[in-house]
Amino acid sequence: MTAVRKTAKAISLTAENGIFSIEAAVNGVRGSWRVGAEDTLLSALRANGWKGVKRGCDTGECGSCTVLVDGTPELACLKLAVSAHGREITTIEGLGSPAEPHPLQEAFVEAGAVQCGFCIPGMILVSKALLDKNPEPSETQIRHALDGNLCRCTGYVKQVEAVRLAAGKIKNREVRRAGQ
Amino acid sequence: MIPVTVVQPKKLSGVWAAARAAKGGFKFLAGGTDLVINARHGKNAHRVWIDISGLKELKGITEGRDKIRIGAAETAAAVCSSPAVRKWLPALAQACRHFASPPLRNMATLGGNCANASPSADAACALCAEQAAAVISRAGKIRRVAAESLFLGPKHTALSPDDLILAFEFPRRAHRGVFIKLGARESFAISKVSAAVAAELRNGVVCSLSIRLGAVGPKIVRPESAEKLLLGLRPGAAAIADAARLCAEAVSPIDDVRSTAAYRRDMARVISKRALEAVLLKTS
Ligand SMILES: Cc1cc2nc3c(=O)[nH]c(=O)nc-3n(C[C@@H](O)[C@@H](O)[C@H](O)COP(=O)(O)OP(=O)(O)OC[C@H]3O[C@@H](n4cnc5c(N)ncnc54)[C@H](O)[C@@H]3O)c2cc1C
Ligand code: FES
Ligand code: FES
Repeated sequence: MTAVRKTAKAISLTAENGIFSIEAAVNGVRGSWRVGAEDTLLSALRANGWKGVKRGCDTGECGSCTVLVDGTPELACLKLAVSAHGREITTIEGLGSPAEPHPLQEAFVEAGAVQCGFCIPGMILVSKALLDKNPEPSETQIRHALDGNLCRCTGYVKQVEAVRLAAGKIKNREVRRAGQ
Repeated sequence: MIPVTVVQPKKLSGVWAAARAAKGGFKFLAGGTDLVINARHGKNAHRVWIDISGLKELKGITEGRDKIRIGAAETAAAVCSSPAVRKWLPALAQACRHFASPPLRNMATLGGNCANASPSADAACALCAEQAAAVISRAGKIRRVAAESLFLGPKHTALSPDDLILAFEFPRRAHRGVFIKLGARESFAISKVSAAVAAELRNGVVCSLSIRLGAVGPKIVRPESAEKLLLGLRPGAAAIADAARLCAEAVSPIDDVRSTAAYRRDMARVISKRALEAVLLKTS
């Protein structure tokens, strides 16, 4: 996780004509990025094609722009793109593919937790961070983890179910792997 | 949004070099959860932002022999999950636990919460009840002041622009503490009223007590008459109810988008009463 941070060289970032050059890894792909001083991580990610990160409120209130920064959920709308220098960013695109979805993605579909889908990338990413730390969360722990992610469509119940379902899937997968 | 340059110094000395080089003013950037929103509204439009969030001098939670020290760039999430904070600073741990939302808690720092000086800042309210001293550096020269003395009014502090809060220090003392907030929802809501209480009891007698109320005045409110009333007593329900009334008399709330002055005043009484009961009537 910290590999990029250690190797990132530029420390004092000074803009040339308002453009910074930063190094960051997005979904495992390391590279140099050119970002504006006023760009948030949200606008920079979307401008570079990572459209899975959603702009809801743009003021920290809804959670739809949540990404993982070195594995921890943060709000991309309040984070400057330059602050991603040396960091490893994960968006929903980094989790699975349509052919091989992540257990959380499978579980959200199976539980019927998705309606319009706008809040789902953020919900899945906070759930990923939760399950990475705590593979068998209680319902209360799941609810607390999802506290910052608003959904205008569903009643939240199915999303809580989906996270529990995913926890089971991940556990079974690990048991199967251990048995192989 | 108009930051033109963001400087990320590697060491504290780099902060002062960057500050000297910044012509026309600068701002420290920690989690950005207040600063970015303000800049988007054209407030605090400084041309240079000095990013202090990665400096190790502002990090770490340590338990010394007679002090607990929390780096100013520690996040609310780190503070509420720290065993030392939970053990020695219960009101602060609870304030950080009920703060904003989980992703915001991973970003928002204690230093930023204080320096922003919102009267409804939860961590700042608990810091005052927990008797925090702020360790401040200006161009490398360090001073310690009571964190409470930093707050002058809404979004107004005694900090000069080049004052950097390095850490908060707390006496290491076994005590009881609680933080209760009332918002529109149980979680992810800015306080309409909050109360932080820290107390030491000896044989049931209150030998130290600090009560602080948030979001009910231009700055965090200390209802001294309520503290005085309970000090030296073995308080029962009646004394606590009296103290809670004094708390409500000490506040000067306003009507705003979140609530009305009248509701806030009444809730200041209710929340103070609950907080005092939780701390002073708890057996064990
Ligand atoms: C949707 C939302 C909900 C919120 N809910 C709550 C809530 O429930 N309770 C609550 O208390 N707050 C809440 N907040 C506000 C909270 O996130 C901020 O007050 C936060 O703690 C500020 O810290 P930061 O690290 O993000 O500061 P920044 O935004 O980086 O900085 C804020 C100010 O502090 C200065 N500063 C930062 N660090 C230092 C330092 N070490 N020394 C000197 N100056 C410094 C900066 O220059 C700036 O002026 C909420 C915010 C949002 C967006
Ligand atoms: S878009 Fe970031 S929290 Fe809503
Ligand atoms: S599914 Fe539509 S916002 Fe959540």
